[in-house]
Amino acid sequence: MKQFYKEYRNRYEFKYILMLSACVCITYFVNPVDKVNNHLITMIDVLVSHRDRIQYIGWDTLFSNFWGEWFIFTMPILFTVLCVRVFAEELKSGTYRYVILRISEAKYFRRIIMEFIVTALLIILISVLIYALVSMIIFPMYPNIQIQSEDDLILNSLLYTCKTVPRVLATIVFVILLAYIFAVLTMDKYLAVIFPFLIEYMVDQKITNVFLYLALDIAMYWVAEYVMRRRAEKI
Amino acid sequence: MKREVWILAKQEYLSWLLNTRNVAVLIFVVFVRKAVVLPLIYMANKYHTVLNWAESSIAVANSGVSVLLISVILLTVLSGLPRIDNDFYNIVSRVGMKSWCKAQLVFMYLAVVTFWLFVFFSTWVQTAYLSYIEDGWSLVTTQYSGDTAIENLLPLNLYNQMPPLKAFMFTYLLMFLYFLFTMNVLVLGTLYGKKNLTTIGLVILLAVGVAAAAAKVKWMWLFPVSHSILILHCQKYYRAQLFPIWLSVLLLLAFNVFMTILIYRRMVSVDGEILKGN
Amino acid sequence: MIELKNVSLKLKGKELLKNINITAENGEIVGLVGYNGSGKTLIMKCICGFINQYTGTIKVDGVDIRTISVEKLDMGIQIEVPSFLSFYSGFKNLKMLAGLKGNINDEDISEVMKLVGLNPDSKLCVAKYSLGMRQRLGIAQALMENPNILILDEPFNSLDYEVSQNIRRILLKEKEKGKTILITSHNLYDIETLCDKTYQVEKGEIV
Repeated sequence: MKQFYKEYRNRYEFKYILMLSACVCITYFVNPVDKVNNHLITMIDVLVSHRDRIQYIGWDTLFSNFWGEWFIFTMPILFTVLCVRVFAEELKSGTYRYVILRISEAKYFRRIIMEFIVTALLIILISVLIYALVSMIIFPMYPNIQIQSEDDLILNSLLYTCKTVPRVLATIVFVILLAYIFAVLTMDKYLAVIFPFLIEYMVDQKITNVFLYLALDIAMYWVAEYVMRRRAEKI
Repeated sequence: MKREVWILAKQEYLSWLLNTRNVAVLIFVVFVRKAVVLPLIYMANKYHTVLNWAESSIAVANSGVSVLLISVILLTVLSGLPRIDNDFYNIVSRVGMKSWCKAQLVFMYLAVVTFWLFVFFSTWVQTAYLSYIEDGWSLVTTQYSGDTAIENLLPLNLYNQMPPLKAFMFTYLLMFLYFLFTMNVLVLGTLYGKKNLTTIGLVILLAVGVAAAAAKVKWMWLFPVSHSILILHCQKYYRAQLFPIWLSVLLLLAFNVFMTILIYRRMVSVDGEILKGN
Repeated sequence: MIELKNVSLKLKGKELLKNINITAENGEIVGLVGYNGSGKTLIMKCICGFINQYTGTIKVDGVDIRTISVEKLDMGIQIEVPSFLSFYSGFKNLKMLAGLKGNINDEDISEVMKLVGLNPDSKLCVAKYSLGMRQRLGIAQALMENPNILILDEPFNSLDYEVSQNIRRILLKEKEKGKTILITSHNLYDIETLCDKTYQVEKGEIV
């Protein structure tokens, strides 16, 4: 664990994780938090042109829907770009050969996947912390449950959050594994970020069930292991 | 211009086109489909009506968020320019520094024009099957856009002030000039060895400009991005423009000409080694 | 002919070259030897016109290079690691460079590639070339337009014995044609077998 932490710190600079977390946080701020004249308005709309609505937005509204459509849209890029950049460069320059000869290909594979996951978790944690901090400063922190329509249910229900969290996590794992596979196949940081983004966008239109996503994750894991083994055999 | 300038510009352009970095434009295509094209198609299908050929292309350039995204992708796509690797020695020893500089400028202008055309075609082609070619706004824009996302993309202060062809021409002229501005600033920063700082500065300038434009504050005209968004110039009912469009065009054009001269002078006078970053 | 008189270079307060005096006549191979970072490549870059902030004079065929544009110097150069467009073949890369001046045709390019031991008909892209192949391509690039002056930075890097011997024979043939050749190396054998004159460079100075 200590070894992993040391290596992780050497490979990834914290300032980039912070930058990506800030970008993810922005996607939280463009989610709908209130309704004005039958229009859903985002937090930025509230802060810029509907400041009178601030008093009506409680903590359950703020924390029920922040993983919205823009988070899902940008997540494949923001969560993978940092790790792909380093991993693809390692593959392209051939440095991975020196690593595999020392720690075995299976360990290398697991290490890279761990790095992707740790980076994603760090980004989620830091972005949620920033979001919570800013929300606590601007908004009153009291519950505000006035369920009158389906929109209100989405805006004001933490149950909704509980339903979306597993699906979002499964999607993140899916995207990470896709990025890994494309990085190994193409050794190009741009293709390894863009293709998973495109695939995830198309898959997201068709699949909403979390169990299907989990099945995809397992399938992708075996594919990732296979491609890495084939790459390592070429040494 | 000399023959070798065109040959070199063509070579650079072809190698730029084949760069995998350009795959980033697919993010723009997906975003535009989600944020602009699908709402328009949905409304057209809902009311069994058609769209004007230019509406989707105009809508893309009039949204602050899509201008932000287009600009970020433009920065990504232009980030390797001008190409100064060890091949630079092979080329400059054959054509000289002046011809190399002219070729780089021609190539970069070609790159910006290609990206600009791509922005138009990638949006137009998605709604082409549902469009008519006439100089009049569709019912989707004028009658059915209320309470939808289209109301923000093709608002009253656009369709009430000018026909679609005129709106398209102004939109794409301003967009082109803004792309040139971005390219010029990026290249000048690269030539002074401050590429990362320039990129960050441009993104901040862009983000603050878009935020100011969204809030419609008076000082938004200090930011070049505000000048590139057509709908900000027009009012809903009065003919008088909030900021004359011709003045925005003139400002952006003058700035671009000035920057191009600075770039050329820097390229020609600086040592090849310093250009390489050594 | 190449002539450097009292050339000094100072950048960011650091003196990189001090009073360099070098002469290379027509029909001569001149060698610059020294450790890594001694300033050999820097001297070459000054001669080729890529660095202009030096004091002193550099003359090529009697003309001060500051008064003339670099493409008029009729030089073939290979400086640092050879770099080409990686998705094109070696022949295509040379053809694109030759097209800039338009002095030679495809046959000339094929001939020079065969001379350095590369196959001009091969479709293999430069990305898949070994280090030795890239080095040979770089030398072919310098030779192909038959320049009067050759500036080659460590031309024998990454080359096996047979290819190195071949390159030496080529350089001696070029010398017999009356060309001025300037090479750098940190291999004394290359210098001893080829060069008519040698300058040892240490910490930016000729010793």
